[in-house]
Amino acid sequence: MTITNSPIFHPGGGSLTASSPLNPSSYDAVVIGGGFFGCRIALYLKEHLNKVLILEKEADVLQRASYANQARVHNGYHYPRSILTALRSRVNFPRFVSEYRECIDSSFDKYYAIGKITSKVTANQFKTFCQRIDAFIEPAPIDIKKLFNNNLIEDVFYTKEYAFDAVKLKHRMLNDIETAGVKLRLNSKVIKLEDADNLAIKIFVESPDNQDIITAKYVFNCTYSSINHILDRSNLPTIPLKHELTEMALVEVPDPIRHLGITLMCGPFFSIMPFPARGLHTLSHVRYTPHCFWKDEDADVKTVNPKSGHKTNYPYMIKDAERYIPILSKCQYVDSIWEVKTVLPQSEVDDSRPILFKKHHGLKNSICVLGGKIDNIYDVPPELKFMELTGGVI
Amino acid sequence: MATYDCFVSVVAPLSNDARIVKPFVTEVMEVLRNNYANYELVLVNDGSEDDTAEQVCGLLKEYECIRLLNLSRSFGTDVAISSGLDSVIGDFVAIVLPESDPPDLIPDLIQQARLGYDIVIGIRNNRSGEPLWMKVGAKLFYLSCKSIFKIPLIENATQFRVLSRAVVNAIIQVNDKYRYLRLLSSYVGYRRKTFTYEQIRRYRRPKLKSFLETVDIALQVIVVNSVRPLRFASYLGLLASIFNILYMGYIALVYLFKDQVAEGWVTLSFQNAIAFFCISIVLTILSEYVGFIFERLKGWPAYYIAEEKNSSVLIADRDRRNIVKNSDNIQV
Repeated sequence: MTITNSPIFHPGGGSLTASSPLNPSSYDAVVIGGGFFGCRIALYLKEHLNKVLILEKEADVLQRASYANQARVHNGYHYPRSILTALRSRVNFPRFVSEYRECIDSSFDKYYAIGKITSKVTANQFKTFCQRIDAFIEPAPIDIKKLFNNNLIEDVFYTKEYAFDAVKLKHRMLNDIETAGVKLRLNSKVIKLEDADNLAIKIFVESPDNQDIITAKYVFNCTYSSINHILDRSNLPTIPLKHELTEMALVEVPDPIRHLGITLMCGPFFSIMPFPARGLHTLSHVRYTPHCFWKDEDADVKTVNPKSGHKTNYPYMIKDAERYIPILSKCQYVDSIWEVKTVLPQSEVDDSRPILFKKHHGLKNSICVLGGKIDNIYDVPPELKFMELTGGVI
Repeated sequence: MATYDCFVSVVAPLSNDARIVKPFVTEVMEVLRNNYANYELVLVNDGSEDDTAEQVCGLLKEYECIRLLNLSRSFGTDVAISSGLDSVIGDFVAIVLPESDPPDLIPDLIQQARLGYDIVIGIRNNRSGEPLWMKVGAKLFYLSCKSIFKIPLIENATQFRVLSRAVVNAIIQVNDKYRYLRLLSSYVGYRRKTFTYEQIRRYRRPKLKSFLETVDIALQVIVVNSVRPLRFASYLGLLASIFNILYMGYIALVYLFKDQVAEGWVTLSFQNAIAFFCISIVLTILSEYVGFIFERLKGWPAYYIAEEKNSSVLIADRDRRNIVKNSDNIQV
């Protein structure tokens, strides 16, 4: 497998001990960020280009959003207020499930409950919406309905939704990357981008033991919450993004709901989902999962370390959740996953989760990609058609 | 100070309170931070027309664990509080009116609730500052509620109170547009305790309601919570009908035993007057109830939440310490 810490491991030959800035390594395309979107885009690029490199800041791929954001793949149930996002999820769900079958956990039943008070949809609306996008929906059985507080819940539906095992998905991606011959460089933080000349972009990379410069014809900035960090350091215009410090609580759930996933729609509610990578459930709450938010243009582009000791909001999440599902009071808190979640400001208005694909941002052939839902990856390839047109020729 | 391992929610309705909301929130947050590990302050903006909501938005960036519920219009204090009760998550919930209730008392009240009293109700120690008609009217109101209408109201009770989770759960089950909380918390039962306190005046005098508004509320409380007026109408109707039957007998007797029945217009007038009097009373009461049934039949929600906002205290602020590096010599 062509995985190295720096220095770069070259295909078909021995590794160079250090890349001299005077003799920079050059690639057809460099993808910054080894998350799911970064890896998949690198794989697409490899179909058209010879030398493709992934630069990842962490010591492994799929460590941040692809792991920490909730491991759900669904039919679009979450977006009754954004029919496009819902429909894309509905279309992409079966493709994702069949392509990554071995990473999918489908061994639980998924229920959607509709809140009576402050819900933005009614049970009828939700049902009609699911029928419109042709997503599976059935009334929940009586013994499931009994778990809920009737005064606060209007109705409960049985649906089809799966979780993916982020660890298995990581191994699968590593395997795909190796098979395709995509280079991967871990522990490598991109400091800045610079226009070398009209044909290439210089990428300044910092590793624990050295700094060097790589050149590439195309650069894909797939760093999710760090997109603006790189742009800012490269003196390129930043993109309006909203960041949230989010907390997912990991809990041991009581037996009767061990094989259930439950989401309460649609308002300041919560969701409890199996998290196969840890054999636990995640509890997330619309009101308490985001601890704070900021926009890059409000202040200087700031780095918030999601992992530095924040006070957990778990007591708040569980107190609210057990009002709706009393049995949740028996949950045991284990741990929390912290992450910086990034969304487009427009998503706040229409509740959609589109993928941002911004070509030639600040530099020619520099492309910023902000992934949305993991299974919407299939919406990206049409955007990469220009590769075919240029024939991948540098 | 020791922080207690219980979750405390504070509900405060806001109505054009822009001038007092900041000192109020500061005071409440100080009490909560000093006493409890987990807490929330739920501010319900009851359709304020001033910049109350903007003031609160500023506070959301400064303080943690505050939630703002913006109602779509003004629904009245009781509905505003009950919308807060529908969404609070605490083990104990304190209802506090920003204008008049002292937040310092919250820990004491919560402590009493922790000792097993599910409802701890505040009673104001005087009605000073109120006009005579209000004092007399209130006395009459409480007296009639107690003796005539059998409504279990506590004299001079205010909204300031602490409820346990059990009581909050009981109250939110009452699916009624008229949620007169002072009465509801009696109706649902549970162990109850009262305390007497002196109301404060934050910035301005608590706004007094006009005579008509007060009478309106009193009538609403009686009509919504008691079927006695309806029973009264029934008795009156029954009495009138018995009277009418007797009167018919009288007419029959006159017809049988009198030769000349020309005069008698006085009796006739009296009969008409009494009958119409009774009918009017009955109609009045009936119309009250028909109105109430109509409202209930409409089945409209008691309130709408236009938007909800939460504290977003940036991490950089979390470690902020209340320290100044310099002291300027300013004339005070």
